Amino acid sequence: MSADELPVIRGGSSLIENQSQCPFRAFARHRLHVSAPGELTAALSPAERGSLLHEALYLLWGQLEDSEGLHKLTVEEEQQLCSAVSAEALTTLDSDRRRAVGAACVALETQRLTSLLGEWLAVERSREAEFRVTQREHSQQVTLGPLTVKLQVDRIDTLADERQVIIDYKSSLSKVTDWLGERPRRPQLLLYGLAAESHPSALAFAQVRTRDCQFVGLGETEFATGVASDIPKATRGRAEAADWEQLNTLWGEHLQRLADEFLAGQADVDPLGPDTCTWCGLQSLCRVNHPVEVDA
Amino acid sequence: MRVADVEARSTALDSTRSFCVSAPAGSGKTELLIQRFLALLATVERPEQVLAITFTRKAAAEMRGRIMQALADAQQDVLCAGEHARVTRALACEALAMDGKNDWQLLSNINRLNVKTIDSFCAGLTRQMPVLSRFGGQASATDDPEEMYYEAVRELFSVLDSNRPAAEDLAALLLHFDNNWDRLQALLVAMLARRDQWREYIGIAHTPEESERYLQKVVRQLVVDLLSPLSARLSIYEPELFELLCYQARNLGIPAPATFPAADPSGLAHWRQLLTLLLTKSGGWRSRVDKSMGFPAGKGRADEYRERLTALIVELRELEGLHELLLDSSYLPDTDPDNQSWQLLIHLSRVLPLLAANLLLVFQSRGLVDHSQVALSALDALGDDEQPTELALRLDYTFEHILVDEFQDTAINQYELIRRLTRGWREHNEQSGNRLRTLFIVGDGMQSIYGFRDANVSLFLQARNHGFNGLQLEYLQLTSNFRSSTAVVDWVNDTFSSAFPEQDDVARGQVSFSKAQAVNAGGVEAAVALHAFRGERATQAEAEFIADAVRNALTEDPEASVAVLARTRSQLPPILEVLRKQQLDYAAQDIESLRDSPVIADLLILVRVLVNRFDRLAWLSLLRAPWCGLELQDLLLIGSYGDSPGEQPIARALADKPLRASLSDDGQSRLAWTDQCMQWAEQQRDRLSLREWIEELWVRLCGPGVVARERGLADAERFFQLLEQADSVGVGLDIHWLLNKLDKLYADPGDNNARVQVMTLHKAKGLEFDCVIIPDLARRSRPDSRDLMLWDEHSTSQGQRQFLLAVDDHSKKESPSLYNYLRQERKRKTLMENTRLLYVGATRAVSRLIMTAIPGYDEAKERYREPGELSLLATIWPVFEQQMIEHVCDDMSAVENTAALPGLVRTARPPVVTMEALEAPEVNRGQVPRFADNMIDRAAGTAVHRLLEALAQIDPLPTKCDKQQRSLADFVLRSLGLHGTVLTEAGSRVMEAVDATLADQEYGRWILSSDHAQSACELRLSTADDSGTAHDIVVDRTFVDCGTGVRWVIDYKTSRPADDQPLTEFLAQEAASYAEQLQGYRHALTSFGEEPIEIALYFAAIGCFHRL
Repeated sequence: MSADELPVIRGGSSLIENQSQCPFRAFARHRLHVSAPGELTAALSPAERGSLLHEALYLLWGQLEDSEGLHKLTVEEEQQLCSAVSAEALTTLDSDRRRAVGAACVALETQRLTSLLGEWLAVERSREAEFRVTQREHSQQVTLGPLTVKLQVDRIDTLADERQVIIDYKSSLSKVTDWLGERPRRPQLLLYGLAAESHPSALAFAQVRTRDCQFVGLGETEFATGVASDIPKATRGRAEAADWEQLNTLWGEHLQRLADEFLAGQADVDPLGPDTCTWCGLQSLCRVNHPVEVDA
Repeated sequence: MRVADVEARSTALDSTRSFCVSAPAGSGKTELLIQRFLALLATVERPEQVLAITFTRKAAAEMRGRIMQALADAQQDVLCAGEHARVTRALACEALAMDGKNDWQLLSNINRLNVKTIDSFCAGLTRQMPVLSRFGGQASATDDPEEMYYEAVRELFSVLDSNRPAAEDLAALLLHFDNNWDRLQALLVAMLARRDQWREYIGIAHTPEESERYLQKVVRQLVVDLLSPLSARLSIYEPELFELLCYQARNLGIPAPATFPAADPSGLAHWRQLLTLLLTKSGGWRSRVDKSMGFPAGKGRADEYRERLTALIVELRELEGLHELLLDSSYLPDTDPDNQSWQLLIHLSRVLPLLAANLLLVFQSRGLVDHSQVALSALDALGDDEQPTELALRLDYTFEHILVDEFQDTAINQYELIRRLTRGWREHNEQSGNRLRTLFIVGDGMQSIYGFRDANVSLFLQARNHGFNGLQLEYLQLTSNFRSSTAVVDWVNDTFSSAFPEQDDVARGQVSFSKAQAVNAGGVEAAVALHAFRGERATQAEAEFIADAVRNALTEDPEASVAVLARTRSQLPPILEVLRKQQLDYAAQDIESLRDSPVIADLLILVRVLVNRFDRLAWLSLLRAPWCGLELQDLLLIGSYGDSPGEQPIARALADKPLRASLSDDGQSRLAWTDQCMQWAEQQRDRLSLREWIEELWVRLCGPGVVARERGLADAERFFQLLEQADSVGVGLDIHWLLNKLDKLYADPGDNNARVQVMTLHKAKGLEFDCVIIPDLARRSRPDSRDLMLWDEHSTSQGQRQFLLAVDDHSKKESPSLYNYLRQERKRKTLMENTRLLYVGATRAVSRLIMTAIPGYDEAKERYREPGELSLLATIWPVFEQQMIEHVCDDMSAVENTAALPGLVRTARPPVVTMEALEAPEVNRGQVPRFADNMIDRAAGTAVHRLLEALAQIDPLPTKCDKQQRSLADFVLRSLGLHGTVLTEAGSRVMEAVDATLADQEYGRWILSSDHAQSACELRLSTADDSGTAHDIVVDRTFVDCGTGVRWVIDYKTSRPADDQPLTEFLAQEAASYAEQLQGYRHALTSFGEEPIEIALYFAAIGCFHRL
C-alpha cells in the first residue's frame, strides 16, 4: 500500500474484522471505498435500534455510575430511570426519521427499551463483585505497524482491585468462539484489549437481548456469570493457550498478522464460513457465487 | 398378467353409485377416471352434466386429451390391444352413440367436456354471479398477490397512529414481538395468504367476543378429547396413581387432589402433576425416582412408596400407545383468561378481521384478486346451507355427476365447495329413483404431501367414512401396480408397511399403508439399492456415485429415463455440478433460481448502474464483470481516486485523463470499450424501450460472448422479457420489482428431452421413470424454527372440524401451552408427511430405485447415529441400516484441488477503442429529421430491400412477383407515408426492380437462393473502425457459396444510370462512392469464419451484379 493511501483508510475495528472474515471484503470496503446498499425496513432498522440501545445504556450508567448506585435503587426508581433514559435515547433519533416511522413506533420502541433495560439490570444486579463504570463510549486507538485503528469502546468497568474489564454491548447472539482461531470472527473486543493502557483482566460481550440477557466473555477474573476463566478449557481445539496472558499474546499476533495482510494487499475472496456472505452485500463485485465454470 | 382388483375396477364404472376410490401409486388411476367419465357420458342429456375436477392444469389437459383420444379412436375404429383398452373402447363407443343421438359433436368441440381445475371452476362460478360473489365487475386473479398483502398490512399499521380500538391490540402484538415491524409484517402477510384457513372462524363476520368464545370452546373440547382416552386407559390403575399422587403432594407441600383428576380442564393441573410422576422433563419414561419429585429415600414407608411408583412405571411402560397419550397431554394448555398467551390470541382475533377487510379494499382498488379470493367468492356465490343462492339452485340442475381427482390433497375450501355442490343429492336420489346423481372421488392417502399448502388428508378420510350431506360413498380399494416391477413393489411393501402408522386416524390426519400387487413380473437384479456414505469427502463421493449411477442406467438401457429426485432444491447443486463436469446432459425443472444465474447477476449490475449512476458498488462491479474484467490493481486506482474516495462518483474518476493514463495498458483498452458502451447508454436514456436499451447495451458490451453456459442465453431472454413487462405495467427500471419477479422464476431447465430429469419429490408426483435416484436422505428439512404463529385445523373423532390458533408465547419448549401443543401437533404431521413423501418418491421407479444418504457416524462407538427425526431417512432407518452398502470416503488426497476461490473470468479481448475516438464522440446523435431529396426513390429503395429479404426466405424462388409480394410492397410503402399517385408510381417501380432481379438468372436468383450456407439478410452488426469509433451496420445479404466456399457480402442498390450515362461509367462511379463502406462490412465479417470474403453491389433495378 502506498504512503498516499494510508491516511485515507478509514474503518476502525471493522477493518480488521472484515480482513478476518474475508480479505476481499476488507479490500473492497476500505480501499475501494464501497459499501453495500441498505435494506428497506418497515420501521426502525436493526442498526438504528442498536444505536438507540447503546445510547440508552450510556445514559443509564451515566446516572448509576457503579454497582452501589444500582443496588440502592428501589424497584420503582429503577423502572422510572429505565423509562427516562429510554425516552431520552429516542430523542437522539433524527427528526426526519421520527416523522418517517411515526409516533406510535417511537412510543413502542421506548416501551421496549424500558423493559429490555430492566431485564439487563437484573443481570447486572446478579454480579457479585463490586464495580465502577469508569469509561463509556471511550475513544481510543491502536497501532498495528503502520496502520492506526480508531476505536470506540462501549464500556470499561473497574473492579474493587482496580483491574479493568472491557465490555461491548451486543444485541445479537454472541459467543467467545468468535474470538478464537487464526481468523477470529469478531475481533473488536480483542482490539480494545490491545489498545488498553493496562492489560484488562477480562473481555466480555454484554448480550442485551430480550429474554436472553447475559454476559459472555473470557478473562482471569469471573466478574460475572458467563465469563469463563478456565482458558485451556474455553479455547480447547481452537487456540493453543495455557492462560490468559498467553491468549492475549496470541491475539496480538493474530491481529498484527491480519493488519499486515491488509497492508500487503491480500485481497483473496476467501469467506471465513458459510454464513459470512449472508449480510455482506458485495457479491456482485467479488463474484463469489460465480466461480469459473468448467464447460465454458 | 394378473390383475388382482379387477372386480373393484369394474364396480367403479357403475354409473348409478357413488364411490370413494383409494388408488395407490401406479394403479392406473387416470385410466379409471377416463373410463368412468366415458361411462357417465353415455347416461346424460348433455355432456356438461358430467364435471371432473383435477388438481393441476396439466392434469386437466391430459384428461381432456385422453378422453378425446378414446372417442376419436373409437370413431375410426383403431385397433386396440389389452383388456383395459377394450373396456375403454366399449365405453367410448357407448358415449359416441349418445353423442350421435343428441348431436353433441364432442369430437369437434372439446370444450363441451367439463374437465376443470378447482381454480378455473371457481373462476367460472364467480363470473356467473358477479354480484353475489362480491367482486362487482370483473376482477382478474393474479398468480402474484404478495404485493397486495403487503399493502394491506401497511394499511393496518397506519391504524397505530389513530384512536381506533384495533390500535391498542396491534401495539400489544408489536410489543410482544419486540417492536420488530418487519417480522410482524411478514407474519401477517403469511396469515393473509392462508386466510381461507381462519376466515371462517376469525373472519370479518365475527365479533372478537364470538371468536374468543369459539376458541375457548375448542380448547376445552381438545382437553376433554385428549384426557378421556388417557383416563380410560389408566382406569384400573386409578387407585394406585391417586395414592401416589397424594403422597407426592404431601411431600412437596402442594395441594393434593380431592379425587382422581377428572378428564376435563378442571383437572388439568393435577394431570400435569401426575405426568411428573411417570415421565421425565424430556418426555421419556422415568427410571429414577427421587426426592426432588417428592419421593425421598428412607427406610420403611419412604422406600415402600418409591418401590410402588417404580413398579407401577414398569407396568405402565408395557401398555401400547400410553406413552404417546401421556406426551400429548403434557402440552395441554390452560384457558385462563389472564394468561398472557391467551391475551395475545385475543389481540390477534381483533386485528385479523381488520386486516382481511383491508385486503378487500386493496383488491377493489386494483381490480385484482388472489386465487383464495376466487375460491372464497365461489363459496359465497353458492350460499350457505340455509340460503342457497339461485346460482346454487341452477347448478344443482346442471351437474348430475361429479368426479374429483387427487382428493387426498384437498384443502378445506375445496372440500366445502364439493359439499355445497352436492347439497340435496341424497334426497334427489331417494325420491327420483332414476337419473341418479353420483359423486366419485379418487385419491391416495399415502400420497398426501401438500400439508404445507394446507392440504388436509383428514378430509379425504372423512369423505370416505361419512360422505357428503348424507350421500354415502362406497369405498373401493385398488391394489394393482401397473408401473413398477415386482422387485420394486415388494421392497416398497416391506419397507413402508412398517414406516406408516398402523391405523387410519381422522383426527390426526394419519393414514395407514396398504400393500400393492405388481402386475409386471420380475425385474432387474438388485432393483433397489441403498447406499450410505461417510467420511470427510462424503458429500463429494455421494455426488460422484450418483453421476455414475446415472451413467450406468443410461448405458444399461439406451431408452431408459432417469430421475434424480431431491426433497429440497438446496440439496441439488453439488450433484448438478458433478453431472455438468461429467457432461451428462440433464433437465432441471424449477431447480436453479433465475436470480442465481451468472448472466442475471451481470445484467443486474447493468441495471443498477443505469438506475443510479452514483452507485459505486454497481460501477466497480461493472468494471470487474467479464465484459471488462479490470485487474484489482486498476480497480484500486479507480476506487481510491480523489480526496474522499467514498464520495466520488466512479464516472468522475473515469473522466480523469491522468488517472486513465496511469492504468495498465490492458486496463486502458478494456476500460475504453466499456466506457464507450456506457456513454452510448447514457445518450440513449429514455429514447429506447427498456428492453432495447439494456439488451443492446449488453450486446455492445459483448455480454452474450461471456455467457458460460448455453442456457444462460435463455435466462437472459427471460430477463429481457421481464423488462418488457416492466415497461408495460409502467414500473420503469425498478430494482426491487425486478428482484421480486426474479425470485419467483427459475433458470432455464435445459433440454426438455434430456433423458435425465432433476426435480423435487413434490414435482415428481404423478410421473414415472425407469430409474429413480433419491439422494441425501439424512438431511433435515429445515431447522426446527419457531414460527410466530401456529394454527391447525383438525377433525374431532365425531368428524367435526375445528380450528386452533396460537401466538408464540416465548415459553420453553416443554411447558404446557397452546403454542407448544400446536407445535407438537405440527411436528407429528410433518413426520407422517415425510413418510408419505418418501413413499411418493420410491413409487416413481419402474425398474430401479437407488437411495443414498450421509448418516451421522459416531467414530468412538463405531456405529451410525440415529438420523435426525425430521430427515426422510428416519422414516425407513431400520430397513436402511440393515440393507445399506457402506462407502467410507476419508481419502482427501483423491479430492481434486478445487480452489473454490473465484478467479477472474473475462472476455479475451474487448474491441479496441482509441482515446481520440472517445474524446470526439459523434456529434449530432439526436434524431434530427433530414431533408428527403426524393421521397419516392427512398421509399422504393426501402421496399425493394424488404421484398428481397422476404424472397430470400422462399424456396423455391418464384419467377415473378405474385400477389403476396405486391401486398407486402404496398404495405411497406403505405407505412412510409406514401399515397395516391405517388404510391402507385413507387409500387410499380418496386415491382419492376424486383422482377428484374428475379429474371436475372445468373446473379439475381443466385443471390436470393436458399441453397447457401450461413446466409443472412439485413444482418445487424456493431463494429469498431480503425479510429476506434463504433458503428452500427446492416448487411443486406451475406452467405457462403457452397460451390466455391467464398463468403459473399452484397449491398443492394436501387439506383440506375441516368438515361444517357454508359453503364460502365455508372458502375465505376457507384463503386467509388460505396467502396469504403463495403470495406467496413468486409472487416466486420472477418470474425465470422475463415472463408475468403468477396464484396459486391447488386443493382436490383437493372439486374446488374458488380463485384468490387
